[in-house]
Amino acid sequence: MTQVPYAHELSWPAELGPYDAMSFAIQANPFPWFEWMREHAPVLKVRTPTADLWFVSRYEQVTKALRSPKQFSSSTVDPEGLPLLTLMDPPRHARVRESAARAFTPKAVARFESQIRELAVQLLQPLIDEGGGSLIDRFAMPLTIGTIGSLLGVPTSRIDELKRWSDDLNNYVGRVARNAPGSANDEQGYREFLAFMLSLLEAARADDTESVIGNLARLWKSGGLSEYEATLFGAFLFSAGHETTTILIANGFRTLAEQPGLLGRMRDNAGDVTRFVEESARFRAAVQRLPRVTTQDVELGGYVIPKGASVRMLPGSANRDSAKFPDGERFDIDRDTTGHLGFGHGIHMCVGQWLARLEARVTFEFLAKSVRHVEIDPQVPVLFYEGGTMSNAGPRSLNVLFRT
Amino acid sequence: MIEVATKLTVQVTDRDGTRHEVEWEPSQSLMEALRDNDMAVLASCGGNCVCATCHVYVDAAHFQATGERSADERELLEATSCFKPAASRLSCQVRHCEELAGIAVVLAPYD
Repeated sequence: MTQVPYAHELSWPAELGPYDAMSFAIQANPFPWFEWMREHAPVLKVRTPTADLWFVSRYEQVTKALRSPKQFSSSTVDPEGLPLLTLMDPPRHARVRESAARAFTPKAVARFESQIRELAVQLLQPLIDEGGGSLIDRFAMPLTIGTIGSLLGVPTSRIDELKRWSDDLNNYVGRVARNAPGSANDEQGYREFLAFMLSLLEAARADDTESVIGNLARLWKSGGLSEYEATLFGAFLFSAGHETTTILIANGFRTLAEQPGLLGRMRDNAGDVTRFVEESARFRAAVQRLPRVTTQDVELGGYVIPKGASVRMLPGSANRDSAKFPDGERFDIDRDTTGHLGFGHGIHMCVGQWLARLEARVTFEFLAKSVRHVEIDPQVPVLFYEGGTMSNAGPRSLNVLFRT
Repeated sequence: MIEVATKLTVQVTDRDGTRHEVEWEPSQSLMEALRDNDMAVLASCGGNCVCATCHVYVDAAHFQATGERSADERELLEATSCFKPAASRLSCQVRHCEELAGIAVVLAPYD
């Protein structure tokens, strides 16, 4: 068995420096560190202000751990105090997840396709007509917020407030359960978000609404879910339902700017849009860390991780592991992406994965038909997510230029 | 196995003992047929053989016709507390075929 090193004990390339688990710059672009970790230290430890974190970077070990929820528990904190789906282990995880899962099957989300297309055209056409603009503020975020709002039964007229509450939820969960820094007043926004969700559940309970919120309200009423479980699940589904899909779509635009030939391929061949979306999810996964805690001493890839260790699986790194995906650091629309971890792996795999794929497919189908060239506006800096749960990684502000 | 272009009917017993009949289209895995007919099959991983939340017990008359379990499927099933060696399958791994006409499944308890 090999001793697990601390990141600061290793000789990193001078241009990188040691992997810093709390660095926002690394959160924005972790891939050079991941590549080095896979090669030289596939399991390593990092000191942080709150605890030592263990990072696992190779595909084989990441997938093995994510398939083993009994050894790698999701309860990094006790879900009794914070009954969040992503902190739950079986069988509680299945019970709560089931209360919404049927609304997110491929068949269920397909019913929203024409509505999503209408909204995508309505939001993107003005940007195209103007030759470009702020992609996330004016397109990706309103598209994904509007879509998840419709699907769940959450009114989205107060979009700025919902966005702020979503950030507060991520920051609060990050601080309480993910060894992340959090933000000032995150708990206040988190409580406001839950109060808003409770008001929706109370209204849905009164008039027996047919929607995910309606179903959560019925389960709350019948005792199948506690009030905290139901409100937090509603808030979590809303937040997770837009932020990660926004990142997926924004990253797709980055790739189109980097590989100008892809737009033409997607215009000529509808199947290429589906391949583009899958490869985008592999290449720049929206979720870059999956936290687990070991329930016993576990051997993983020749290393022993002791019981009680806070482990971070790195799906975005596993996705670029050339042992699984040859030449993994390259975006290749023609590659076989089967088994990628862009939507996770195992029992906690993204419940909204089919909706995310649909929103991205609709976006890039319309884009390929409407524009000939995409570039990132060099005059406006691209801003990336910072903090939160330290898991989500990708652009939060991005300006594009179009040529038709 | 010979794939046939006709629908099959699956007899399903859910976790509270209620019986259902669902149609199984040739293009679907057994999991997809169950899920798309609103059976309580979580199928968290979407059909990739990595989660064991689509676990079913297949009736003895049809178990063999569901085919061999892969090493990955076996490992996932054996890790559950409700594994039955002569009946357990992950329904995402069961393909539509003529020999499965009349198949009956019981949804396994959540582990």
